[in-house]
Amino acid sequence: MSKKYDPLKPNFRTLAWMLGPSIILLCVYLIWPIIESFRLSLFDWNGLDKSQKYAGFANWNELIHDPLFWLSVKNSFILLIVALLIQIPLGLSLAILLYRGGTRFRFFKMTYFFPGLMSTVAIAILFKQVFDYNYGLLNQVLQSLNLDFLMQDWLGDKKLAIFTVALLVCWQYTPYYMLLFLAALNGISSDVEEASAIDGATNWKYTRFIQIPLIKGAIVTAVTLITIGSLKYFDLIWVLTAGGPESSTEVMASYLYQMAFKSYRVGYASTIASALFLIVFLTAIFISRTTRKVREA
Amino acid sequence: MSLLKSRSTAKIPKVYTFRRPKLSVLSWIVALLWLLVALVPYFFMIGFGFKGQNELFSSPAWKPPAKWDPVNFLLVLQGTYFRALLNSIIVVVVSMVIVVLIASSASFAFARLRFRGNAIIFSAVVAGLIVPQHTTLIPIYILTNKLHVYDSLAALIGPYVAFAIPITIFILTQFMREIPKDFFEAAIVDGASHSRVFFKVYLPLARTALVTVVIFNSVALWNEFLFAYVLTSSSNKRTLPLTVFDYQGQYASNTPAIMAALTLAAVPLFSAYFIFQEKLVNGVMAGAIKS
Repeated sequence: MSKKYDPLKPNFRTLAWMLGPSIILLCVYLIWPIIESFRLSLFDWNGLDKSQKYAGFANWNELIHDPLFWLSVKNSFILLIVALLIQIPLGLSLAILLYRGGTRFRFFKMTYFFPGLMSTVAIAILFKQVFDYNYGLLNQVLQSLNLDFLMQDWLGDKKLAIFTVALLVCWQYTPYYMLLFLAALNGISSDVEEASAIDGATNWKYTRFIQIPLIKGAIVTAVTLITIGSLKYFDLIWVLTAGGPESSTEVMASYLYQMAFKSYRVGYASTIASALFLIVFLTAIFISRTTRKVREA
Repeated sequence: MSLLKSRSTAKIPKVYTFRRPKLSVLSWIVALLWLLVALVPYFFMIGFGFKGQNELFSSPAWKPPAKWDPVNFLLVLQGTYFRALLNSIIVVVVSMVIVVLIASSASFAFARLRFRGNAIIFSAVVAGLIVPQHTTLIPIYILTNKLHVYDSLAALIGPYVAFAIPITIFILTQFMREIPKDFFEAAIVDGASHSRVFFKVYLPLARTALVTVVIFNSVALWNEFLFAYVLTSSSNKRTLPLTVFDYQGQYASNTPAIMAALTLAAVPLFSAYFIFQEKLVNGVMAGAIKS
């Protein structure tokens, strides 16, 4: 009896069956692919040939000097910034509205979540019809209201398209953050509300000085989710514009897809994939660093 | 879970009854305005589905159809709709069963057992949350071909399960940590093995958390596009979102039929929403709140 008996210590077989399957799947489908992407990024390969030609850092060198790649990075960050500027304030306002409305707004609460229920592909196909220049809902409504001057080629205009896409992303995801904030608001003890009412706080003051500070944690969570999510954006753009017109709505993921499965430049696509991973990873570290104080407070 | 507790379920005895503030006219206006923004596209979609093929050109988009003709819906239902529905159900159910089985046991190990590297492995698993699917896409595509499962539902299960694992383990581990240690100790003292404690005590007690993760993951997988797009190609292997995507080519000149397809594709999840409303919303939110 050399070691003390520890009831918390599993024997190897127990540990193996409990952890094994999850760990193996994560290795096969997450960890190995990341490493493989980095490996492939050093090769010149079309995905079909048997031989992969070692190319050193040629792909990385090309990437750094590729204006299209940087455009896609810029577009990804436009999506991110628009998402943060619209979804957080809008989601928060709607949550406060629903909170104040209480049971009176039960119907609103139910229907506000609708945009979050449809698949992204379906949303993209539907809004192609909404944004169509000639026959789209939006332009025809504007026309019938004699607001012709507001009519735009929402998805065809190179300058405008990325913002149209960004607004649509907000339409789809704001309901999630609204409900996230609403759940946080409901988590505030009613004692706090009563105390501040007795102290004479107005609605606005209560929201500004009590509610918002108390749901800081939820706001940080929303910022994190929006940031990571925006950098990975793909489905909506692929179906709605496929990166066009003239690459004006290209984002990192769509550029990657284009290179791998349309241009058959698998090595270069893997370079984009690796860069995407690095950008998401570094951003996640940056966010967790900067928000640590808020989360711990 | 405290955040999820809605106001109505958390009953606090009150001496002083607090009245909800009166709603200003502005509140109602804003509420109705957003209702319009959230709903109008759906009315448009459903109405459009009933329109004739050329009505698009002859009458404004916002007008209801001249004749409510269900022909487009029948057309879609005669196509691959039910096949796609079945495929989606199979993929989601199989993935969920596997995820629940393997992630719950791992969560138990992380939450209650002492072994070298517990904390580090757990953080590594949770870090998996931020891995972009796109980074893994090319290697997984190559792997799928090597395993000879390309263009089959089986091809989707692997990545679906793997990408659901981090969030599932994260939520379940936190939940299991909150189950009092006494349960664990009592069972061990009675001579139960760790496996037995997991199956007989922790798994049943984690039921509510399991429901949450199943809902959260199911909704995400139900709408998944990227892997299904890349790892399948023939129409009888496509899941619902992909079938909708393919309709664009199939009914290229018949936009109303595409709108009818979108409407029908939205039916399953909306039905689930009307039946399980609060549960579904809480499940979807759980992923967000916990991370």
